[in-house]
Amino acid sequence: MWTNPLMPLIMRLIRNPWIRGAVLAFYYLAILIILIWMYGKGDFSTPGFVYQEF
Amino acid sequence: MRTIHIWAGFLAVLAVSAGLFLGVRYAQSVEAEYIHALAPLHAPLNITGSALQEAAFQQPDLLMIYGASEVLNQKSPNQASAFFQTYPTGFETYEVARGGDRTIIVTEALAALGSDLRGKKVVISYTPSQFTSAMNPTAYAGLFSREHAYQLVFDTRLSRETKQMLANRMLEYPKTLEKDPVLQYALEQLASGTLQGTVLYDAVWPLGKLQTLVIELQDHFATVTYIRSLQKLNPEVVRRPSTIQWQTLAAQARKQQITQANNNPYGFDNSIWKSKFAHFKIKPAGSGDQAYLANMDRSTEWIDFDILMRVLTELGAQPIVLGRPFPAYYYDANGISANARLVFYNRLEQTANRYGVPVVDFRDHEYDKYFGVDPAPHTSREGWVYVDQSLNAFDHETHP
Repeated sequence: MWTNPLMPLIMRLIRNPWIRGAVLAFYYLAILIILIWMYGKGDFSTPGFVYQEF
Repeated sequence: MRTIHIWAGFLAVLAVSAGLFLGVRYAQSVEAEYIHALAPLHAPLNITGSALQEAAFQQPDLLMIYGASEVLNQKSPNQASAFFQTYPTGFETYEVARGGDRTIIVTEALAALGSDLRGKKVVISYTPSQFTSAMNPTAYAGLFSREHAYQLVFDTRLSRETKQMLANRMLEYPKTLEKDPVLQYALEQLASGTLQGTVLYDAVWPLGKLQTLVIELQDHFATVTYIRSLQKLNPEVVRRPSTIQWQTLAAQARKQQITQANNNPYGFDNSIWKSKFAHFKIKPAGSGDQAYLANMDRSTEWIDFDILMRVLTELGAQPIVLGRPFPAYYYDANGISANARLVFYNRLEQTANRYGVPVVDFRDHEYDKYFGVDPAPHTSREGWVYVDQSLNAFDHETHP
């Protein structure tokens, strides 16, 4: 069975609490940035403008 | 093991908060850099957002004017933002106005700015004709700003009493609140004026405040995107100081206006007369007084105008109310007498004076046939000279 030669290295890195923490922080940061990108623009349009003369 | 998630989440939130803080600072610097160049453009975000208004209020050489179409029309070199575009006397006007705007919309926009108004001059423009009816829900919805509503409900230090008055009026346009349950709920609690309402408003406040922050961030993002879309906009404005000969200018403008308004006896623009009033029939003197006075008395504009004066006073602004006169020849012919018109002038003046706000209503120009171009009236090139002169006097503190 083929195994990824990098897997032991990855597993070792993940077990390191500092690296795991940093990866998680970036992961959460990415989620927040995606949310801001998705909802950041807002909608400042109004319903169809109807001029009420007076 | 779980603490690592908490720390990672905390760091991510911290990084995003720092990024947003820096982003807002960047947006504010861009807005401040371009605000003078944006003044004559009447950006749509003036109506729905607050960022540009906040930036404009920070500039000592921009005079803020709030009103409706009379602020923008008729187009001529004497229209305020065109006339002061080169800062001839050291300032330019920044107009927040759109056709059909009413006092409630102006009040919401100004109330939303909160402490940004403290010590700042602001011109409130009106025409007598707006005080004869109520704003219909469709027109209101077209000018309603969700951001202004959130800011005034959750973000300003207005008294509870003033907020209650505003809430009562805003709830009369329920369609604009349908998609905002938090805002609607808070308005209902404010409007109730009960202890229970106060407690429930306080309970919902954190959620409303958070939503306000989100909308404000969106406003900055939309504003910077808008400015960046104006690729040819030069932030540097031309400044040409000059001495203005007001009387000469008025005489010249009058001469030009007469040639544009010679197909009717009321001084209206020829094209407007021809398209809208060709079948106008003269009515007996005073025959329209009763109906006019009843309509005027019923108008919700008075409630809104009173709230506006309260808002400006509570927020520490330095306002002036600057109107347009009735086109008296037309009103006389329409059966609305000088006495009936006087009721309006006096009521408006008394309401404003109750809050210590000065009024310039140009009532002495009523029989100046060429002041306006239609019944509203929208201002003619001659009328604009008098308006400009008053704006100049207000900006330079020489107004009575």
